[in-house]
Amino acid sequence: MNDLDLLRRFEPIIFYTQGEHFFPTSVDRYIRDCSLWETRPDQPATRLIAEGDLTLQKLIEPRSAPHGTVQYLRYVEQLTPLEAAKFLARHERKFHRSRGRLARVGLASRIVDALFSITLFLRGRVPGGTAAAAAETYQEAQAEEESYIYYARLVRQNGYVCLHYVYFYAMNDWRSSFHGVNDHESDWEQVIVYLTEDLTPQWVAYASHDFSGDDLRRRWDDPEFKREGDHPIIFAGAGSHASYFSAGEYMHEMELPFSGPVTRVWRTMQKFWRDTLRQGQLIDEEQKRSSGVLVVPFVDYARGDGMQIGQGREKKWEARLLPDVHDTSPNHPQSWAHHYRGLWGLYARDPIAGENAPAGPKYNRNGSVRGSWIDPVGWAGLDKVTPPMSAEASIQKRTEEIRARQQKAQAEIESKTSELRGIGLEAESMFDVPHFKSIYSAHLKKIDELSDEIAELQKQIAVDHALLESLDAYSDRLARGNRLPARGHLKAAHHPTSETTEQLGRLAEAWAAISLGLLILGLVLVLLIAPRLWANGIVGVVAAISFLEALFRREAKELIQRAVSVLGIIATLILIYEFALPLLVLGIIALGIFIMVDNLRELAG
Amino acid sequence: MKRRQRTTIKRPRILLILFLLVFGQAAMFLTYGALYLLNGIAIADVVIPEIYFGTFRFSQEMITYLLLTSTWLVLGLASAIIGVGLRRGKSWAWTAAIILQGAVLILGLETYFTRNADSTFYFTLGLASAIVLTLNQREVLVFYRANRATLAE
Repeated sequence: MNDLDLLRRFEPIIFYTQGEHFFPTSVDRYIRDCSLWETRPDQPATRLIAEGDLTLQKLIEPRSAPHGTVQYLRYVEQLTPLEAAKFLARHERKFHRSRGRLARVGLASRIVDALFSITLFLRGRVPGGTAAAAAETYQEAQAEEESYIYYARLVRQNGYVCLHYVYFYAMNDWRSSFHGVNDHESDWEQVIVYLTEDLTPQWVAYASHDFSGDDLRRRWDDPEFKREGDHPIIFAGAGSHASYFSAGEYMHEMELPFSGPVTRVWRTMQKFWRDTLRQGQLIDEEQKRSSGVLVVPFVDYARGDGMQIGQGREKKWEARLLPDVHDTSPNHPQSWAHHYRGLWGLYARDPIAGENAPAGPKYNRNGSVRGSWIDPVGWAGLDKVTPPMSAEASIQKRTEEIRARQQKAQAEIESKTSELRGIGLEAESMFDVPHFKSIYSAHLKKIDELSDEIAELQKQIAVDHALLESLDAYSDRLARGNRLPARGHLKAAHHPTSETTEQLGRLAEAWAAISLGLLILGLVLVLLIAPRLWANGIVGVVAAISFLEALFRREAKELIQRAVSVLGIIATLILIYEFALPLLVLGIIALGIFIMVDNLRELAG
Repeated sequence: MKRRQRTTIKRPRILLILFLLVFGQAAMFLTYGALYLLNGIAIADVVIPEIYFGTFRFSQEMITYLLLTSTWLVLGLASAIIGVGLRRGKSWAWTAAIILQGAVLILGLETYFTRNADSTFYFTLGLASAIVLTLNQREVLVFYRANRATLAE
C-alpha cells in the first residue's frame, strides 16, 4: 500500500455546523484570487504581485527583505456595509444561534467581554465586510468547480506511522459570523492519525483551541472518539474550524492580553484560600483552567448538523500529498509548504496576532517551524508512549538498564564502603593524638561525605527494586491484554456545555444582554441623585444586580456563600488591624503555653 | 449477633468547634437580649402607671430600646435553632447559618464604618467571622452537602 492509499484509508469525515460558509479548498485556487504584499518595519504595505498575476511558482520565489518584514497574501477587498448586507440577504442563513455566550457566564466575565470589544478598536483587526467578501469569492469559485481538498503526508517517527491531514480554508469568520474570538483570512487546521508499524490505528489527535500535548489526543478505543470504520469523525467549529471529538457547543474562556500578572496574583490568592485555608469545595483541573479573573467567554459551535464531507458522503475528498520533511525540491506540486514562510491572508497588524492570518502548515506566524510538522509524535505528547507492539521489548530493555544500574550502584557501594572503612580506621587511630587534629577533622568530613553517598546509592537501589517490580507487573498486565484506561492520559479534556446550561431560557439571555448596561446606569444614577451616599449606593447597586444575576443563573446560594465569605475576610482584616498588638501578645502566650504543655506531657509520659 | 454497619457519614472534628461557636453566639445574643429586658423591667414601674392613666406615649428612645431587645432575642433564638439543626446534620441549618452570619457581618461592618464601636461589637464581629470561616471549611461543606444528597436519595 502506498502512502496515498494509506492516507485515504484513514481519511477523516468532517461534520460541519449549519450556516458554515467555508470548506476545505485548494491552495492553488485560493492563490488565483490573491495578491502578494509586504510590510517592512515602519513602512506602509507595498504590493509585490497583483491579483491575477500570482502563481504558486511566483509565491515561493526567494525575496530578500530586512528583519521584521512581513509578507502576506490579500484574498479579498472588504465589502461595504451595504454590499455585505445585500450578500447576506441573498444567502439564507441556516445557523441557529442557541443561548448567547454572555448568558452562559457571570457578570464579571461580561464586564471583561465589554473591555475586550473595546480593545478590538484599538488593535488591528480584519475589517468588517471581509468575511462576506471572502464568502462571495469562495462561493463563486465553488460554483465554477466544486471541490473539497485536503493535504496530507505520512511521517514515520519513533515507532509510529503518523498520517498528517491538513485542511485549508479561505477564511476564519468565527467573530463576524458566529460571535467568536477572531476573524482572519485563510485558516489551517490539522489532524494526525497515529498507527503502529503494522498499520494498526492507536491514537488520533485534533488541533484545538487552548489545548496541547496529551490533551490533544484520544485513543482509538476511547468512547468519546467517533469513527466510521477506519475513518475518524471530526466535528468542526462553525467559522473557527477547530476540531472536536464530540458534537456540541464548547465554551472557551480567552484570557485578555496583558492580564497575566493579575491572573497570577488571583490564582495565588485562590490557591491560598482553597489549599492552605481549606476553604470552599475542591475544584478539578478544568475548573482551575477556567478560573482566570480577566477572561472573555466565547462559544464554538461544533454541532455537526450541517454538511458532511468524506467517505460514504455525497461530498467527497480530493487528497493531495504534501512533500516529505526532507523533500525541499521546488518542483514538488506542494513545494509552497516548505518555501512560502509568509502569512496566507491579511496581516491586520494585531499585536496579539489573533486577527492576523496564519502562516502555512509548516510554519508559525513568526516563521518558526510548527511542532506538528517537525515532531508530530511529540506534538500530541506521544514521545513518551511506547507503541503497544514494541511495549514488551521496551519493558525488557528498560528492565535490563535498571538491573545494570543496580549492579553498578552495588559495585560503587562496595568500593565506597571499603574506602570508608579504611578512612574510619585511620580516624580511630588518630583519635587521641594531638598533632593529628587537622587531619582528623578532614577525615571526619570525608567520612560524612562517603556515608551520604553510600546512603544515596542504597536509596537508588531500593527505588530501582520497586521500579523492577512495577515494570514486571505492567508486563503481566499487558500480556493479559489489560491496557491502561483510554482516558488516563487526559489532564483537562474539553466537554461540550451541558444541556442544562444551554436551556437557561430567554429571560436569562435578555438579562445577560441588559445587565451590564443596567449596572452602569445604576452607578451613574447613584452619583447624580445621591452623591453623598455614593459608597452605600454603589454597594447597593452592585449587590442588587449581582443577586438578580445569581437568581437568573440559579446560583443564589453560591453567591450568598461567596459574599458572606468576603464579609468575613473584611471583618477579620479589621480585627487584625484594630487589635494587632493584643493578637500578637495572645499568640506568643498561646505558643508559650503550648510548648509548656507539650514538654510537661513528655515529662509525665 | 452481627452488628449492622452504620451508614451515616462520619462527623469531622471541626464540627465540634462549629457547634461551640454557634451555641456561644446564641448564648451571647440571648444574654444581650436578657440584659436589655432586665433593664426594661426596671423602668416598668414608670411605664405601667402611665399606661393605666392613659398618659403613656412612645418615645424615640423607647422604640430603639424595644427594637434592640427584640433583635438580640430573635438573633439569639435563631442562632440556637440553627445550632440544633447543625448538630443534627441538617443542610438547611448550614444555609441558614451562613445567611445569619451575613446579616450579623453587614450590621457589624455598617456599625464599624459609621459609628464608634465598643468591645462587645468587636467580639460579635470576631465570632461571626470565625463561624463563617468554619462553615466554609471543606470538611464542613462536604459533610452538610453529603447529608443533603443522602436525604435527596
